[in-house]
Amino acid sequence: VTRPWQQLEDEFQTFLEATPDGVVLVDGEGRIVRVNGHAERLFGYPRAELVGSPVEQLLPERFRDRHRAHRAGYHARPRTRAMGEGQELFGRRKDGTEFPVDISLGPVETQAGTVVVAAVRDATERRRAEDLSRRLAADELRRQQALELNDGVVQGLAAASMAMELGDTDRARALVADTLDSARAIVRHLLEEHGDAPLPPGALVRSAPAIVRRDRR
Amino acid sequence: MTDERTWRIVIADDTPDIRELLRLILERRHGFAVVGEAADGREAVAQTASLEPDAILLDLAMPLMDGLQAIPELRRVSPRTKIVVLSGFEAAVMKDRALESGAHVYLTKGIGTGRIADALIDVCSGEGRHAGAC
Repeated sequence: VTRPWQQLEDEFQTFLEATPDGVVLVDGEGRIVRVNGHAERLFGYPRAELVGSPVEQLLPERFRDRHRAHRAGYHARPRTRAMGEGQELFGRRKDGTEFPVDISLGPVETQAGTVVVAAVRDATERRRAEDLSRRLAADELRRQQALELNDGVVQGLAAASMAMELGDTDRARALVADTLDSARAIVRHLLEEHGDAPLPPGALVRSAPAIVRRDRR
Repeated sequence: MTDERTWRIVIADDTPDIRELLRLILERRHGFAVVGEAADGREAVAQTASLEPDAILLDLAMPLMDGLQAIPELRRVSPRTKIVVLSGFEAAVMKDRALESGAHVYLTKGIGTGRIADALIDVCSGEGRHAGAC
């Protein structure tokens, strides 16, 4: 006894439920017209509280005005794309807590006008992994620089001081000269590290005290 | 110190100048024979395995295998060899890790060469873990 449109309707909802993301369908007025179960769980709202509400309800308050403006712009030129390319997006749960999200958008033409399909994914794990790999990369760079200093400067000065103790001043002088060269090369390398941009004036002003002087026993 | 014996030493450091100068320093003092040199951690392990020296003077930052990786291997291939770390890193950074890995003494490069020799004699003549020296 199910009528054909009812069957289509059911199949459509089945598709939505099978989607691995939280799906929120939004009409031209910015009202939520349909969600799937993932979206309910993601945002902590029962379906009934979402359908008919403005989509901004799912955003932290500080982003809502801007979002309304962006939404109007999107409806003027709808296309499939990621939302807020290059920006960190946040969702807001019913309990007021925020969480990082990735959102992709796509327009669907319906008899009731353009409906935007927003696929929402919790980005907490992804961003945590990215932060971690950024930190590890920074650690690795620092370690390389420390080793460069050790090899280029500490080793040379240690050798020079041994040569001095042995009374071989010519050799000590040569070792100091080599060490000075390699220290300069390291400084040049470190200053060049960040791309081709010329150093701005004042970039060489040292924060005092730049070098921790250790008391000699 | 009436002990007349000669302590057999291996020097492991990737900087040739340091190896040569350490050899000169030790050979100038009586009581040492530098029996081998190594330029990286793997070579240090191989030399120690075949020569079984009384002590190895071990740098930490080296290619292929660093000193911290080498220490447990050195203990394994020649348990009688005393491991004296001579590192460019200050003790606060690496000493604990080196001693925990099984090194006997941690010295920082730049200390007087007399103290390097003294530490070698102390540790070789069995005055226990000389962990305090740095």
